[in-house]
Amino acid sequence: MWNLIRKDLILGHRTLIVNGSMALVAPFILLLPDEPPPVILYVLYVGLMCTMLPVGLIAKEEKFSATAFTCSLPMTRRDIVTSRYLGGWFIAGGSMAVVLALGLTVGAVRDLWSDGASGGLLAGFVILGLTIAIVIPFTIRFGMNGLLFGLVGLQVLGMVMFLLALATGGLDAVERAVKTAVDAVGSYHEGVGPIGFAATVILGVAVLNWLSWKASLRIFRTRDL
Amino acid sequence: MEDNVLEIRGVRKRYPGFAMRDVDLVVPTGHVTGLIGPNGAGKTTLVKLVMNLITREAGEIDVFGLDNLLHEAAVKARIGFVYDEPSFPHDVNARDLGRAIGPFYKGWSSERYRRLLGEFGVPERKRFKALSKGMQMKLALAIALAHDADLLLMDEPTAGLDLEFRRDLLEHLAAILEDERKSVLFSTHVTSDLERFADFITLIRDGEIVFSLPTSDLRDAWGVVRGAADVLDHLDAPDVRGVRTGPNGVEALVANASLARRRCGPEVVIDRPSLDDVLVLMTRGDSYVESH
Repeated sequence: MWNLIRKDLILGHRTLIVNGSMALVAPFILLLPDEPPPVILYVLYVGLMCTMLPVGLIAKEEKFSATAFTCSLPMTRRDIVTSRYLGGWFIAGGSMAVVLALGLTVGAVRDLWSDGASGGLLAGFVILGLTIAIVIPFTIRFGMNGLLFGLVGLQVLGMVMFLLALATGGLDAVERAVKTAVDAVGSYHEGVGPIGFAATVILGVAVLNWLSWKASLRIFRTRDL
Repeated sequence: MEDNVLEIRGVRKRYPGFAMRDVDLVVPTGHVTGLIGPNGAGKTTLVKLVMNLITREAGEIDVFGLDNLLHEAAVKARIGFVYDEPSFPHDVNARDLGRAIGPFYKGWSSERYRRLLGEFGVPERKRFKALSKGMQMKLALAIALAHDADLLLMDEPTAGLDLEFRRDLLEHLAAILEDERKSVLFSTHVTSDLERFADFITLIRDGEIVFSLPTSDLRDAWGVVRGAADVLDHLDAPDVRGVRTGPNGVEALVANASLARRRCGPEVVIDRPSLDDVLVLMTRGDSYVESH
């Protein structure tokens, strides 16, 4: 397994350096407005940028049809899929830790964390877990182009739903549903306390990643290269 | 040591417009088996099935006596694989590839890899996309040969290579085969590569194995009968494997040259068939007749 992650790091080191530099610099854009964002938004942004690093490696392999080469190595497809997830967490988590730590050397970023570090870190974990769980199966199946089309498609779908809600007067219902969900999370948080809440979130992300891994395995096992 | 390094039984695979039906094939240990056939016949499909790069719909594939799906990693660890279109990330070089791939193989030798790169003239630091097609193939060959594989599975390995290098490569493979445990399955439509090199020839056409024979049988027993159109009347029909009609008469490929000689008489020319003759007469003969 480690050999596969190592291979990706060696063969993708140029991509990692270029995209990693962007992930390091881009979050500072958030500091440009007069009113700085809440720390959760900052961490979400960093998390998204960092998750794109391992996804970029998978997409690069797809782009050059190098997946067949990877599958010709003495590894099973299960190993390859598992390495995508472990490597994803390793690369995205590691780079996120580096970006956040380096961000702390800048006073303006340090100030953001006064809002609450634990909430920010939990948000970072959630965005990492959610993005990996959603994006990896999609990228394994459709490559980077498919992912981009998928994201654009989701945006278009969102806009269509929004317009439909506006036209049918259902926007209030959507707002109420979102508010109810947020309130439910809030009261659950109050009920179980911060540690119980964090444990539930971590468990939820872990289960989601397990389901995503199973789906990726199913997709990749039957894929012709 | 197994008698056969590779056994394929009843394998099926369908694509839109192509079907591989109940393919059986045996590749004996310690020999070179040449897989020939026209483009689109199923050579690459067969090689990909062995490597589990595509899923089969039915059948069994044993490599080194092991099922290639149940023992996928163990099987692939002993295969040196060359893909018809080497596909590595474009911004990597031979040195990076060696560092990345080496740890997967117990028998990998960095020294041997560097020596092969040197012999093949592949620059270690040049990016893959900057290499010519031929150089890319040489790099793929160096990788396949650097881990002392027991089976070399090569899909069109000489595509894009100049004649001189092709000859060097075949000599290199011949040297490897001095070790009797090593075997080669070599798919190509450049039949001249196999003429002197292959011990067995398998012809695949439209997803079906037409024959799989020792090369010596083809060379010694088969023949190409050349003569006027009525020469076909003298031949034993089941013995005729392909016919091509041209402006100067007919060419017929027969599986029993001595029988054909007896039947046709001394005035008819019967030559030893080249693999090109076999390939053309058995795969394009009919369409040639139709088009004329």
